[in-house]
Amino acid sequence: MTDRSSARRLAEQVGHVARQELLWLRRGWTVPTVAVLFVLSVVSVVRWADPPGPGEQPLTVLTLVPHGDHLSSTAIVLFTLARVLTLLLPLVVVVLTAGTLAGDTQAGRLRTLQTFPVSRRAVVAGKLLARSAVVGSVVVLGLIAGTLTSWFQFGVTEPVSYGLFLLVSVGFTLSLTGTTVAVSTLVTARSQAVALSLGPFLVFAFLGVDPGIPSVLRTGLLVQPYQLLVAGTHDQLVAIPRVMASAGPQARIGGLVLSDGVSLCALFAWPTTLLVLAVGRFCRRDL
Amino acid sequence: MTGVSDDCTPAVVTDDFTKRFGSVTAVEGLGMTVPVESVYGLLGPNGAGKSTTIDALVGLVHATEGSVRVLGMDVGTSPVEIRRRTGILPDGFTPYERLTGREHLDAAARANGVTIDTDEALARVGLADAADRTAGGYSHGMSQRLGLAMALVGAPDLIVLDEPAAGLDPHGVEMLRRIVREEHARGATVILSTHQLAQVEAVCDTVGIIDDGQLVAEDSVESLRRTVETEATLRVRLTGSIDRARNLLGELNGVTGVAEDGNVLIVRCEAEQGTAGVIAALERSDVGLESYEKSLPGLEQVFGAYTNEQ
Repeated sequence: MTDRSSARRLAEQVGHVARQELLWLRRGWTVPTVAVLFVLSVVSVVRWADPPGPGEQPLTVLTLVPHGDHLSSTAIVLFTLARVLTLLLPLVVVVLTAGTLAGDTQAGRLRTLQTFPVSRRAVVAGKLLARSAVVGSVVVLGLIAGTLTSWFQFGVTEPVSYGLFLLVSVGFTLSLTGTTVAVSTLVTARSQAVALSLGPFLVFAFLGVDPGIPSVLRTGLLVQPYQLLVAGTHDQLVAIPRVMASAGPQARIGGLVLSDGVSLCALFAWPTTLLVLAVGRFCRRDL
Repeated sequence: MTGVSDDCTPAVVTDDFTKRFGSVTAVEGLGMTVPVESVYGLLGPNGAGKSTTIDALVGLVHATEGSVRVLGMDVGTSPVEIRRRTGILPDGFTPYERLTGREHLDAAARANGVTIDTDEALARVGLADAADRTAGGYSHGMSQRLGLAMALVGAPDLIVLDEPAAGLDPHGVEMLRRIVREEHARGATVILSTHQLAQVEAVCDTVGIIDDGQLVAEDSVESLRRTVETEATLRVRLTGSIDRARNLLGELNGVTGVAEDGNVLIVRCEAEQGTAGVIAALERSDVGLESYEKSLPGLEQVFGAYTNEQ
């Protein structure tokens, strides 16, 4: 009974913080600006995609298709989008969420918020909830714009494939949001949060295209969920960054590799672990 | 507001409260007791540890050693419940610059689970005209007023105000005093942390003086005045000869100086007790005592005596 009422109180506090955060975000220019830029980027990428004509295969995807099977327009569009979103989504997430707590701490607003009867756990959860909703909405908006563009451009779109791609994109975004909010909770300045969120990603992105790096690093640290859908097999998943780098024929990947399921678990294990650590530290911190 | 503590429980008790930031000790072994339904002034020079103490009361900073109990609850284990019953204006209050004054109060009311008339609450602090303006356009004084209005939401049992007069104009200062008196009359306990002695002197009934991280005095304003051995001054009006009175008082024990200011005689005594002897001597004499005015040591002198800062 007590547990249930505690949970209800916590939920109320989380809801209050989330509502306050959404109101704050709604009043700024950052979210609409990022949303417009993201939509334009997705639309441009889809327009830039080059679906094969009858009997043709695009060069960049050729090596990923084991038996030279025909690829649909949707597959080409999704593959092209996946390449760009792998880099674009972290940028969107960092711009929209790096200041979640670090910015408030820096500006002094966190002290103001903590004069309310809300726990520190509720502060992190409420802000994470609000930022996830905003970032998720931006991504959904952009990808819907991409779907419509694809439909106008190529006349056909596979709704199931595109829907799955959208779900995976939102999942990837939420994972990145969790990681960035956790980093923002751990530090006290927005610039630190940006550097610590984006820095490791760029490092891993760089390592990901180096065939000399053990594949477990490329799949465990740099998880690129799109390729799970686009390429279909794990070998192809880890091969894609190398194809991008060399456009050469696909090499077999040997050694230890994570399965698709474990890769997806890793995708959510990172933010979860970081958030637990960050909240624990935040609860002990002086404001 | 729901009561957790009974009427006898002090509003705030700190026991051997110590706070260190790295190698710097901000507060050491603080034992402070704030009586319930009092207006408690926490005085101290800059950097004495006032804000650290205030922040510890509401869970913004954590004690390194010792304990802090507010409204009968431990801050370490019940910070949310304490804040639910406490209105707080923290030092350097920062509003959400994109939100209006009204939205700030709505947020405070929602968080406290109460419904308020935001127009009335903002009018009380003189922000009625700025209710729908975003706080980013507020002056420092207006932000302080907004913070004060937020602290009053839900008629809290305890109101903690850290440097509330910072940035306020004279009207704002008067408004602040009026509100403190009104909240006290309602039955709330008010803690006022400041280095402005006039604020404390005007509204506080109990004073704690903190210096170099330690509580050096805690008592009623009157009691603290009595503990300080400073001069008391009498301004005396006579119907008879001023020269005769000067000669008479010049020989009196406990009188340290006699001077004239027009037709007023200014008599300085070693202590407040000495003034009674002066009045008695004048009444017994033929100099004709018309009226007198006694000036006791101000809080400024008390503060100076306890903090070694004049």
